[in-house]
Amino acid sequence: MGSRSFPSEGQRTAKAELSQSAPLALKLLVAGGFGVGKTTLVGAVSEIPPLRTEELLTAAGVGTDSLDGIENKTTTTVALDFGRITFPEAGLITYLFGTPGQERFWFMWNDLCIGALGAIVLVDTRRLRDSFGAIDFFEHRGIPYVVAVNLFDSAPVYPLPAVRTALSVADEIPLIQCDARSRTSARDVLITLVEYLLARRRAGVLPESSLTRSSP
Amino acid sequence: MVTQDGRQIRYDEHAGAVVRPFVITNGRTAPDVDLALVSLVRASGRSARQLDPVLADILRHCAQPAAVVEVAARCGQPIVITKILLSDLIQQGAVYIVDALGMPTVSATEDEMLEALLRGLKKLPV
Repeated sequence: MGSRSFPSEGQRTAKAELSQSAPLALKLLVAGGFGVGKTTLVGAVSEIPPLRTEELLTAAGVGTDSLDGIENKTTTTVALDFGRITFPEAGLITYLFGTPGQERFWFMWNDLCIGALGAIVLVDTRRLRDSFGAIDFFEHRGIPYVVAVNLFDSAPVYPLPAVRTALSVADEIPLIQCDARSRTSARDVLITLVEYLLARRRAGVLPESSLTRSSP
Repeated sequence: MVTQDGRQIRYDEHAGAVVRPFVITNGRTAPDVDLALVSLVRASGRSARQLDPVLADILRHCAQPAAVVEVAARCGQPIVITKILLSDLIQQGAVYIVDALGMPTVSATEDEMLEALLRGLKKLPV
């Protein structure tokens, strides 16, 4: 290479090569109470076995009423399961994150939520209230979500309108049934979510910056 | 103790892993380079010959473009630790952030991107 005078030349060349092939990573969240099937759903559609990673969060007296200051500041470890779907034609990599079961912690995890395209709230009809936290959170953060009732073999099946009423979910938010173990079903939930995101954008609901992967 | 990927680490029954996470980062708790969970990183092929084993492990896992969170999972390091170490590698020039924002697919509108995602999902083999 003749242009040794530019120290970043090699790097720029590598980048130029990559621009042909480097995909964009998107982020979708799967939330819901403990044991509702988040990792199962992620695993059903992921092209890799779900991976587990951990994050260290600084939690200042989370969930307690203590007014003490810094002496209460502890580092909490939260685990995160995720999977991946690559769409080579579209140049997209989608990461699906199953939010940690200890919901009072993942609420603090900005990095997990910022830049998320949208979310799936998984619901177990035997434990509806376990999903309230996730629904409230996405409403509050303005992250679009759909609700998927995971049909456990042993769980009572309620009409979806009744579930919607019990969850106080607005009529325009898709609410569907699924079997988190089934790849087809899990994919259909994702399709429902992306169709909803598109419909919202066409209706002018989503801000232009929704995909921006800005830092906290 | 042997980790999931077969590495030998010193492990104390009572104290846990003998090397505590932030020891690896010399006590630093935040990366110098802003990295998101799904930021894509890739090894540049230009690294120091003598690399710390933990850094070498991270470098190995970004031979192909990989999201930060995936590098963390495959290296068995917490995400924040991975970010700090990746940040060091970026500053050394050994790793760079795949600049997805300069790509044709991204200059497309968000609608087009969502539509591409939808088409991809509908074609997903099940």
